[in-house]
Amino acid sequence: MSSKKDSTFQTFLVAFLTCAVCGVFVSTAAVMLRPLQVENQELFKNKNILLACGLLERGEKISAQKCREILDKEVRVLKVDFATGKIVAEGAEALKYDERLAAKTPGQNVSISGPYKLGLTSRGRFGTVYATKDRVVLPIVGKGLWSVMSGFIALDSESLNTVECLLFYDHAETAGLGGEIENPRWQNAWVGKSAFEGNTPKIHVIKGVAPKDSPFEVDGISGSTLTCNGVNATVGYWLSQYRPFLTKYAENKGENVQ
Amino acid sequence: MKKYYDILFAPIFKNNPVALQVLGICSALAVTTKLETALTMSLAVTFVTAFSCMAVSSIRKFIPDSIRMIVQMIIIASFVIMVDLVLKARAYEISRQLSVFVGLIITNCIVMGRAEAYAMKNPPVESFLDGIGNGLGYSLVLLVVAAIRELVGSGKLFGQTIFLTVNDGGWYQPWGIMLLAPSAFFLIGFFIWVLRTFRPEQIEE
Repeated sequence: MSSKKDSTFQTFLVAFLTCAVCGVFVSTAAVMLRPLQVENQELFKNKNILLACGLLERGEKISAQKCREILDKEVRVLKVDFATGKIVAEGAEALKYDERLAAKTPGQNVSISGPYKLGLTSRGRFGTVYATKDRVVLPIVGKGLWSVMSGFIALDSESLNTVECLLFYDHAETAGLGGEIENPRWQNAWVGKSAFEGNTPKIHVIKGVAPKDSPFEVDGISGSTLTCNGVNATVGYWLSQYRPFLTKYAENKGENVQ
Repeated sequence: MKKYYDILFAPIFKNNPVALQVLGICSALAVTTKLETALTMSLAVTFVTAFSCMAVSSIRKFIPDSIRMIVQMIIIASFVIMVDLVLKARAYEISRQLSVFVGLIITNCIVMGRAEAYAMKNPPVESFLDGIGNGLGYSLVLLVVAAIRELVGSGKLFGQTIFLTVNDGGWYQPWGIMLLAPSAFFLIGFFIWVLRTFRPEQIEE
């Protein structure tokens, strides 16, 4: 038995059969579970958009279908040119645009420079903005201590300056320290602060407790100085990039003027 | 019956994979900041160890020695990928938190160690039970460590607030170090110490 078991033929046969059987199992599972996974990812992102728009309560359960319905009805999706601030597409066409993909595609991206230490090298030429009656939601992304953090900052659509919501939905900072950027209590500290002074982004996290009447300062998180530096760079950078759009948006009262 | 009972329960205290065999430490550090992730990880590792040991054991008489490690690896990797896919489809939030560590079950020494040391020499049923037993032994350590880290580090158990922390407006000042990897080393050290105090035969010369 043992000599036959170790023959060259048997070695190849066993290797081949093992690979074939395992391959069939894995690919069957992958194909069968694919639709569920895609749905989960989409639901997760949509939930966070609704949260930033103020159309969903934190911790509220919602079906993927309901989520899409609310999005379709209440939220305008805008594709925005960072340089001119103009809206270049709206609705279904804006949804087709993937900023993250564009950021990596030569010709469609712009390298990131300037005073903000974002930790990323490039961004797409266009951005996606979500607008409702009351809010304008701007996606933000930047590096914290360990990881790329993705989130949204929502401004009041009247003043385009008052922060209505800040949230990070994707990051891998240390749970309990930098990970506290996910803590709703901390995120709520941003609400009601002012984002800009004139046209310059001014809102930032400080060390320790921010004075109550300070319009630009947000409480720091103890043990998370480096994550907070990343948050400051991220928020500052994207606010400065969206500034032309916000100015245009205010001029046109949110209308899509080509 | 007694034999099966022993195979299943020996790895929990008598021959614990983490405490005595000192296997699988890396993931025990990484996923134990919260009970929820630790529990999911425990279930995943137990599942993978049990089924891959059974699969390896059932074809052990046909595996040529020269490629036995690679064959074990392929089988283990297939089970791990399936667990990862199922988690992404059924428990998306948890799979996001576990992120890369589910994939890293492949490199968890417990799985490979049991396949090589036990499943290659024993019949499928025994190997399956041995896999479950070792998975449970690993789970025990993981859950104890995670319970302490979550409670002391963030004042919660399974995400439910037990001590209201200062950040949330309460009185409890959490121990930040409990959320960092070194604290898991200390806790596992304590666990081994306690275990060996009650079972002196585990003390190495």
